[in-house]
Amino acid sequence: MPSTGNFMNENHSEVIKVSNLSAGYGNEVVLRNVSFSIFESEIVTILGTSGCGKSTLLKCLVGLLEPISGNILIFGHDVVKAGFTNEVRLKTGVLFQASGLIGSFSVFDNVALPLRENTNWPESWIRDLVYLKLEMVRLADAARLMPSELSGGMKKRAGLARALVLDPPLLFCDEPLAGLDPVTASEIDELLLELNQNLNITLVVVTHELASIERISDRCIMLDQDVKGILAMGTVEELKKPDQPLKVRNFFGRHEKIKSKNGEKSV
Amino acid sequence: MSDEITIPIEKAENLDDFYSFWEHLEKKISTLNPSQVNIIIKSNIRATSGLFVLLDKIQDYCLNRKIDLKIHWESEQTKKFLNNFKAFVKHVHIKPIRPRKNPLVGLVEKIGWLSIAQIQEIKDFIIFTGKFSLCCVKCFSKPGRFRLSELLYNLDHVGTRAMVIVGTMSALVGLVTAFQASIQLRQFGANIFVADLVALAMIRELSPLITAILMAGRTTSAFTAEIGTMKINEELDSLKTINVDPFYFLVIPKTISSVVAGPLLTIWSVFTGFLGGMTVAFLALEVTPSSFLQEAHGILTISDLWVGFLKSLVFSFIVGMTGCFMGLETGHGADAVGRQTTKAVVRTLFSIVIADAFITLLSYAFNW
Repeated sequence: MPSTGNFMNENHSEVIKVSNLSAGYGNEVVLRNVSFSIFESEIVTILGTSGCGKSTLLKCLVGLLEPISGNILIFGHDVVKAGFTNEVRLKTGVLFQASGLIGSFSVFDNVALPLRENTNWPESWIRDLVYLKLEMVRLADAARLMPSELSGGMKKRAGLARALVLDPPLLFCDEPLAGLDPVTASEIDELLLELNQNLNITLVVVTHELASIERISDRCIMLDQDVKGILAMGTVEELKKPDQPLKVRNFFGRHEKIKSKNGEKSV
Repeated sequence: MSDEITIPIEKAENLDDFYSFWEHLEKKISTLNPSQVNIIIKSNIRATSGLFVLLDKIQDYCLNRKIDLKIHWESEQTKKFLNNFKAFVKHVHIKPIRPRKNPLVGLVEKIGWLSIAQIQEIKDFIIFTGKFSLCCVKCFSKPGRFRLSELLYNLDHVGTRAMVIVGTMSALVGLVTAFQASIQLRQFGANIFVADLVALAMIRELSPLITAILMAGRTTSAFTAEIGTMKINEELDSLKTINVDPFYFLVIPKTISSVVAGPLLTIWSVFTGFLGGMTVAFLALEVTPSSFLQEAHGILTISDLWVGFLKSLVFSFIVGMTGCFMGLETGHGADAVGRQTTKAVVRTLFSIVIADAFITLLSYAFNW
């Protein structure tokens, strides 16, 4: 299980450093002066209610949206000023909400695409690595299927294999559990934990699934629509404490209520 | 033959570095032919699956050449990660590549499957046409089911908005036909016969065909794309669950609007085609519009009008039906709509030409 300890120490270097970031669409500012750091090999969940700017923040972090102002350093590279260079792109993987698989490519070809485009590996090496990744996400048997033939969970896993195929030390996941049943959702969570523990991958997960947040997070960053930025930051235990703002307690408290209600029913 | 070589893995910025290392190692082994290879993995090397694949390849290579392989890890942590990783993927089973089939067998097999698919599609289309006829009859018995607003909306899109392009194209075709003929006719002083040519060609053949081809491009593609997107977005399924038959909701208004708009557009096409023909006749052959119309009136019989009308009716029916049918047959995935739309337009054009030939043959056989 992930430790609840604070990662902000010298043992872990900063992977992402966001300072005074403001972002939005057109004249509408969604995030204002957001600052935080993410450290090596931790799992950080970005959470909050719908419309709080989770996806906007993620889009800025992966270079799909240009911020209005502020700085983002990824592995020490200023991605706002210098843009997402190849070096940064190859060090980051992104798992999209709808997986983003290319519909006309088989699962194998989807996963092999980054290798074919970005390396000079021969096909036999590519094949080995693709099957390795597919086995990691337990999808080796579906290698020859088309994305349209996959279930929601399988699509997510194929997307994950593709995001990981270049061995990025940093992985962004946008709502990895959206639209999945609880069993498949917990499987994906376990997969993310295994990746973090076995391959030392830093994970930034955007989600609002409370069960998942509790299962995987080392640290949470909670965004809020009214504040237009970070409402609270810390471990799940810290955020559950009574000295937190009401909205944070409500967010976690509602989950506790649901849990106790289900507990009563099952008795 | 030297006894042993030692090579460190020092750089692993990206996956290409692993392959460069492999090439370097392979070259060194083949030139020095050692009995033992020592690989040192430096502490700055991150445990990744790329490294795993590299070590796997080296192990296989050394095993085949009966070379002792020793791997030294400078960082215990990397070693631990990789061992974890090995345990994690211990069940990796790389599928053998399927042996290639004899290309001739493959070709025959492909033709066979394509034929089966075509026969199935023709069968489905016949069932679809049957269902359409049945629904039309039911609509007559229960007119409340008929969605007039949807029909008018489609009529506007299929008919009114196509008038400019149909008119322009037909006028140009009429103009070109008359112009081509004028060069020949002038030599014999048979100027007036340009009216006969334009009138017969436009009414019996060109107007229905131009209109149908334009409708295949505009209407069939629009119907297929619209219904196909609805299918992908599960809108059709949701219609069924709220007890609304997509047939009454979509197919009937769309097909009927196409069948109504087709002949009307053909009349418009004849009109503009005549205008084009008359312009050339007047400017190049000194045939006045009134003598042009008089000559055309003299040559045309009622059966010519009927053949033109029948063609336009059949063509527009094909346009509407194929569009809806192909839309409903759309598969899954984002690219399905695009592929289905292309297929629908090609199929419509093909069916139109076949139908045209068939009706022409019929008119010849029955002396229409």
